[in-house]
Amino acid sequence: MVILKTEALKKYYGKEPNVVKALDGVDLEVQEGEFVAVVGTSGSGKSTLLHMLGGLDKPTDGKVIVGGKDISGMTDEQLTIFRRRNVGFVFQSYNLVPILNVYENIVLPIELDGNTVDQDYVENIIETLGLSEKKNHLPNNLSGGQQQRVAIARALATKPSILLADEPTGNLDTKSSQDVLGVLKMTSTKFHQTIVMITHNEQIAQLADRIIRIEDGKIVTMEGWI
Amino acid sequence: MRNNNQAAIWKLSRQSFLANKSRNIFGIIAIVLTTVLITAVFTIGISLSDGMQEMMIRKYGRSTEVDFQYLTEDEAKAVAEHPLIEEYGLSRLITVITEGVFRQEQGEIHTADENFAKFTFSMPTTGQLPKEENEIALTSWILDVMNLPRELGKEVHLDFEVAGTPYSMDFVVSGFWDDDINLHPYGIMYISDILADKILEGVNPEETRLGKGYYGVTMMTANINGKLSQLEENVDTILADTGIDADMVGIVYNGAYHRGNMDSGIILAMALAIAIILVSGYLLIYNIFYISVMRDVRYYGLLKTVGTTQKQLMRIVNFQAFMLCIIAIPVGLIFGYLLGIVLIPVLLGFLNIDYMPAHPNLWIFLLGAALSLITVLISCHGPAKKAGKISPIEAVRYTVFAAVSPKKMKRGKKGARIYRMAWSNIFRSRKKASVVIASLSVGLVLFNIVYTVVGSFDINKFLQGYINGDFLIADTDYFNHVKPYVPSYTLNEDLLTDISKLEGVKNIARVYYGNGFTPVEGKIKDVLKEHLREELLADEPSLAEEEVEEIIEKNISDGYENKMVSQIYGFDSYWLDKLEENMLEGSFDREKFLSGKYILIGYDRDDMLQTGDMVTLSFYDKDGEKRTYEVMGKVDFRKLNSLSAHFITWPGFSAYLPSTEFEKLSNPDIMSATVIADEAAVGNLQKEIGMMLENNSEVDFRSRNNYIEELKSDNQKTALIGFTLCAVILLIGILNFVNTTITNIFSRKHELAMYESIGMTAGQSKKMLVLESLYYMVLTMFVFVTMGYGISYYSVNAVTKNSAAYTYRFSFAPFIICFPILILLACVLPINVYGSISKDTVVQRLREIE
Repeated sequence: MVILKTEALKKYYGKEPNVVKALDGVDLEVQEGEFVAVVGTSGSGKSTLLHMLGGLDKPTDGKVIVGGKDISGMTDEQLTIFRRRNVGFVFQSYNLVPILNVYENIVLPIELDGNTVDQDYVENIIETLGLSEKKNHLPNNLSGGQQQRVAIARALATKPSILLADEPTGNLDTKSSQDVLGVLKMTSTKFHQTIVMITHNEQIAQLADRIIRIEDGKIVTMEGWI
Repeated sequence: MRNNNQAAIWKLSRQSFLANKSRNIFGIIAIVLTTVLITAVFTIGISLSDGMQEMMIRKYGRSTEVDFQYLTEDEAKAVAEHPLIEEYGLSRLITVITEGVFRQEQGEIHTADENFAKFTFSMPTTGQLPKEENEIALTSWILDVMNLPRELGKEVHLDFEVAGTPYSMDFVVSGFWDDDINLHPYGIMYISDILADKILEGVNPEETRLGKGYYGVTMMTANINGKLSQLEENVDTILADTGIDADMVGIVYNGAYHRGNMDSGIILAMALAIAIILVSGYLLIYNIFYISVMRDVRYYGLLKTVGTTQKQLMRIVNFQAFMLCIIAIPVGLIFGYLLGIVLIPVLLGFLNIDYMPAHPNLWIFLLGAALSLITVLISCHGPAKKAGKISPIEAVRYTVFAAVSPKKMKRGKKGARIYRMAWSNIFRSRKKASVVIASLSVGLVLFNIVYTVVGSFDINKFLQGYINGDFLIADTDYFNHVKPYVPSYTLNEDLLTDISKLEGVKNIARVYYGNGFTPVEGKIKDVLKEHLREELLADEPSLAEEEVEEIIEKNISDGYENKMVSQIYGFDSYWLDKLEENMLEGSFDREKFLSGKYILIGYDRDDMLQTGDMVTLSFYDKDGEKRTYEVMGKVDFRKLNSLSAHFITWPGFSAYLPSTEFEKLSNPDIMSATVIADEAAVGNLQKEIGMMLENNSEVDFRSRNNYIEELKSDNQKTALIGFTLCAVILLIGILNFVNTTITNIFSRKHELAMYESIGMTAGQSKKMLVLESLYYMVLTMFVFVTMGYGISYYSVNAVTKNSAAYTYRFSFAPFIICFPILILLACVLPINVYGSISKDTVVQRLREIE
């Protein structure tokens, strides 16, 4: 089942004659439970693509359909609510809330939505990601790898349709990177979670089910297509 | 080794300065406000001090430092030539007139040179000093009491006597000057030297100055070279050099130049005001620079990484502060001076001082500028040090997230409700939060104090000191509180009978007044002797006991003629309730009191008299017939101020008798009559009594409404000054809050974008930011309610406890006035600021810092 789909997605910045075509007609389909890596050089448009998929930014033209819903025409407010219900983000810089402890960070998106927390599910995530011991810690007392695991847990807590990871290991050393990638891979299988991950590291990309290569705003190859 | 890096540091400083536009705006406003306040306080303080001196000078009647009152012409010449005399004016006293229009206020005929007239504020404002034999110059007051128009050329007739020779002369007015209520004495007249020489022919001042009329003595009023503090030594030198007997010439120093106590009061008030201003200025400027350094932490870290030393970094920060000062302080000085100028007339008018425009005093600006600069430099010191100490490694990694309290754990599974996040957020920088709260609180607490003082003004309590009915009728001089009242016999029964016939008059309550003489004997004598002994020994500690005893005995028998003068009041029965209310000792029995056998004692400093004692009194009247009364008890005389002669005498006491005791005298003096009227008739009576007294220059009246109006306007003036200064301090507090809120939200731009990326809507973000601001206000409110009300309770109470006009009154009004405004600000400001930072898309905002 296709959970994520783009049709002729375009994102232009600036005005003539200095138009930058960050995305120039991208057609993409991601199946439910698939772990996709998007690779490309810096400036290739891979981050822009991720932002479009997560509803952080609006396309100049084309469509983004998540779980059968076209999000390209939504207002900012609708997009924000859409994000917290359907999209989990994992950033390179973790972006944890410093004043909240690990547990509170993880359940933040649920509470922002005004929902009660599914305790069992959250406990399960915390357990799976090896954060049980750290539940009451504040983020600045955790290592980079641990912080990224909290970020992943937070992204998973709302049971999102898709999890978008933007260079999740960019700030980590090799060992922590392995650790975080392992966690991502595991969630993909254990929770049947759809993941789209951006990276510029071929080696890391190899862990994904499929690699999409993007250059100058266009998809050039799709590897590992099953 | 000296390193020539000035240029580099300057360049960096300049760049940082220019890069911080919004910080600069806030910094400039902060420094301007602080300078405005300091300068205004200095302007007011210095002008007030000058104004008071000016008033004192007027009161003393001369601007010169010293008078030699009774010189001969030769002595005057010798003194005038002395090198220590800087400038002088001369006048000869011809005679003093105490008859006719001068019965109340004596008239003095003098000659005067231009300097003398100038120094004693008696230079004719219309016309000139007399030149011809028949010319005279005088104060407008004399023309008024003689019922002459204030015009030149009018004829003035005077009867006077010089050294036993009577004169009856007509003069032509050659000039006159406006009288001034502060200027004493009132009745000055100047005649020409030509006439004076004729009149004084054969009069020898050397003899007349021995207490025999002082005819023809020369008075010199002079300024002495050298410091005021050495005035007395210098005068002594002059006397010694010229060989003039100091006791003979009657040296009088101008009291306006001895103002130690008064100045220390002003200085204390100024110091307190300035201390509060400096604290609130410090809180704001400190916070502005602290926030600015925190925001630029990466920049300073970077500078350090590339080799800038701690000292240089501090200099960069200080330089920026200095730049702000260069712009802000001059502006503040000008506005502060103008504010001071605007407020001074209000203050001086309130204190009944003639308004003197404050001269732009260099000290005001120098002190204002210096204090502002010092405040800024102290405020910057902490932040500059912080910038200097930044570790380059940490600084580069520093994000706003790092500015979290170093707590490691945070218990709780309650999750992340927005209100809880907001609460945690305000404590991310405790320093910032406490400075803002302190800053807001200073203004509010001050506002509360001023409000409470103004609100505690108790008009009824105050009026009791002046008037106890609807109208108070008395001798004109009685209303001049500067002078003690002496029996004037101007208020007579006929007038009071006429007034009692007016419609609406319910009652007229009289207060009689007279000097009573009591023999000095028994306990009274002991107390008096003890007092004289102390006085004597303080002057001449070397005296032997027998000598002291002898002098005292002689003093009492010769000086006091074995009797003591006391102030005796006669109260109409209308006032008896008032006596009863204010009994301090003994019990009041109305019938016994009215029998005329009893007396109530008021002022009696040394408890010479006790309840049950017998007091013997006599009045001048009826050949000093002696009467004896039994002391019924003591009354709190302070509470009867409105019924008193406005002064007390020592040695002596004051006492109260029923008015029937005064009516027995052949010529009793009615000091005051209070009219009690129907409320509806008050307006009409004001007009009718006014008409009745219109042509009576001896008797005047005041109405309750006059006093109320006067008091209200005085209270409003205090309020105006207090609230103006408070408003600026409050503004400083609000500015601190605004600056903190704006910089806070700007510095969290990325963080807020991150919240949005994981699903916090703009509404929720705004809610969080508004809640943070509201929490600031709630905390301020808490400080205000606990400390603010506590401080104002104690301080206002301390100040007003013994005051006749204030009763502490608690009020919620300051709270109700201030907080809606602050809460509105707390709601509107964050939403606006958030609006301006959330214009970019989430992605742009997220990328901005990375």
